[in-house]
Amino acid sequence: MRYWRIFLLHFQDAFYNKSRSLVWFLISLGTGAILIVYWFAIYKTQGGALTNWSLSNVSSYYLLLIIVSSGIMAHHDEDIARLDIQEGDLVRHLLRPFSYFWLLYFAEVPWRIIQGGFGVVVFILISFIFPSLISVSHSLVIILLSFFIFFLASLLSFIFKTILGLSAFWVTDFRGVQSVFEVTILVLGGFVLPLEFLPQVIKETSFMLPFSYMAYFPIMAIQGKLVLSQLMQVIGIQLLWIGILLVLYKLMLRSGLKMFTGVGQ
Amino acid sequence: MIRYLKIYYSLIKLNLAALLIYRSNFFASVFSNLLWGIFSIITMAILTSKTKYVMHWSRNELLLLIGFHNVIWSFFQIVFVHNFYDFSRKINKGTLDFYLLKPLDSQFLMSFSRIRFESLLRFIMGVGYVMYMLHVLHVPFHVTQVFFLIFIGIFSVVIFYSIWFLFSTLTIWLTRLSNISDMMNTLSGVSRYPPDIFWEVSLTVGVLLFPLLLAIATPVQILLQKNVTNNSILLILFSCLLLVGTRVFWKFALRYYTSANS
Repeated sequence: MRYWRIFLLHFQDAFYNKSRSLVWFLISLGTGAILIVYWFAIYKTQGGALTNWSLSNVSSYYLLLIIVSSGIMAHHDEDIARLDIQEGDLVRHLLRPFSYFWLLYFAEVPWRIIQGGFGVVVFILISFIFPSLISVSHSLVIILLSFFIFFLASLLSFIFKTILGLSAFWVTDFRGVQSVFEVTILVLGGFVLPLEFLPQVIKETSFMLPFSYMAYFPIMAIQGKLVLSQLMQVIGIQLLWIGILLVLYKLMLRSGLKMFTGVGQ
Repeated sequence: MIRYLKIYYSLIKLNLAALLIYRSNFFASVFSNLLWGIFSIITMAILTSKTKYVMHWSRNELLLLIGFHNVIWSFFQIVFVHNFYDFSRKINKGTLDFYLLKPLDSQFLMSFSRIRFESLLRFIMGVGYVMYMLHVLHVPFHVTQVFFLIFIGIFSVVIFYSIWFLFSTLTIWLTRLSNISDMMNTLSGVSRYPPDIFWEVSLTVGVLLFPLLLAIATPVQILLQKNVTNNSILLILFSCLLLVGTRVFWKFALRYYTSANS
C-alpha cells in the first residue's frame, strides 16, 4: 500500500511536468521519424523489399521503437550517479524504511507510463492515417505474450540502468561509463537498425547480451516475427537476465555502500 | 569589436583554467565525446551496409557527409553547446540578471561564456576522417578550397547557432522546458542525412527543415565539386536572416523576462 502511495506521489510529479515528458517523447519520435524517412529513401532507391523486410515491417519497427525508447527504456541512471551517489542524496533514501530498489522503481515508472502513453497514441494515430506503414501480429495469444515480454523488457532495462548508476560508487565521472553503455545499447539493442541486418558476429553477440531483450525482441514479438516457442524462449532468457542482474545489483549496492561517505564526491 | 574579441580571449583563458582544475572530468568528457563521434560514423556505416546508394548519394559520399557533420558539430559544441544547456538554468534561477547588468551585450554573454574544449579531439578526428574520405573518393583537394570551405562552414555554424538560440529563447516563456536543448540535439541530427530524402517525403517537411538540410550537405557538395551555387547562396542568405532573427527575437523576449531574484 505504501509503495502505491509513493507511486501516486511520483505520478503526480510526473504529470505536473508532462510538458517536459512531451519534449522527451518528441526526442524519441524525432529520432524514429528520421530513420523511417531514411529507410523510405532506401526502399525507393532499391525499388522493393530489403531481404525479407518490407517497408511496412521497417516502419512499424521504428514506430514501435519510439514506444520502447519512451515507455520501456529507463533513464534514471544519471540521477542515481549524480544526485544519489556523487551529491550524497543516497543518505536520505537509506534512512527510509523502504527498499531503495522499489523507491527508484516507483519514481521511474510514472515517467515511463506518461511518455509511453504518448508513444501509444502516436502509434494508434499513424495506424489509422497510414495503415500500410503498420505491421503487427493479429493473434491474441502472441499479443498478450508480447505485452508480457514488454513488461519484462522494462524491468530488465530498469535493473540494468540501476546497476549502471551504481557504478558511480567507483568512478569519479560517470559520463564515460554511461557513454560506453549507451552506444552499446543503441547498436546491440537494435536502436540503429534491426539486428537482422547486422553482420552475423555482431548479431550473435547481441543475442548473448541483455540489450536485445530490452528492445529488439519485444518489437519482433509484437510484429509476429516470432513463433510461440521462440516467444517462450525470449521470456525465459529475459527472466534469466533479470535474475543475474538482480544478484549483481545486490552485490554492487552492498560493496558500494562500504565506500559511500554520504558527503558527496 | 576589438573589445569583444579581447573579452572572448579572457573567457577562453578562464574556461581553460576551470578545465585544468577538474582534469579527470575533462578526460572522461573527451572520451565520451570521441565515442559519440565514432558512433555516428559507425551508425552511418551500418545504415549504408545494405545499399550502395541512397537517392543520388553513394555510400562513401554519405560517410563523407557524416564526417563533415562531425567537424561542424564538434566546432559548434566547443563554442556554443554548453551555453545553450545553461540557458534555461540561468533564466529559471534568475542569474540572467547578472548578465543584463553587465556593460556587455547579453546575447554575447549568453552565447559565448562557456567553452567546451572536450570536443576538440572529436573536431581533429573529424577533420582527419574527412581528409581520409576525400582520398577514398579520389577527390582532388586544393588550398583555395580549404579557405572557401571554412568560409561556407562558418555559415553552417551560424545556422545551427541561430536555430538553437531561437528555440532556447522560448524558455523565457516556457520555463519548465529545460530539456529543449536535448530536443535541439535531435533536430540538428537531420543535417547528417542527405536532404533529398526529406524532400521525397513531403514538401512541407523539406521546407521546414530547409536551413538545417543546407547546413552540412552544401559544404559537402562543394567538396565533391558538384554545382551548388544556388544552395551556397541560399545557405548564406538563410544564415544571415536567421542571425538577424535571433537578435530581434532576443530583444523582444527580454521584455518578458521576469527575474527570479527581484
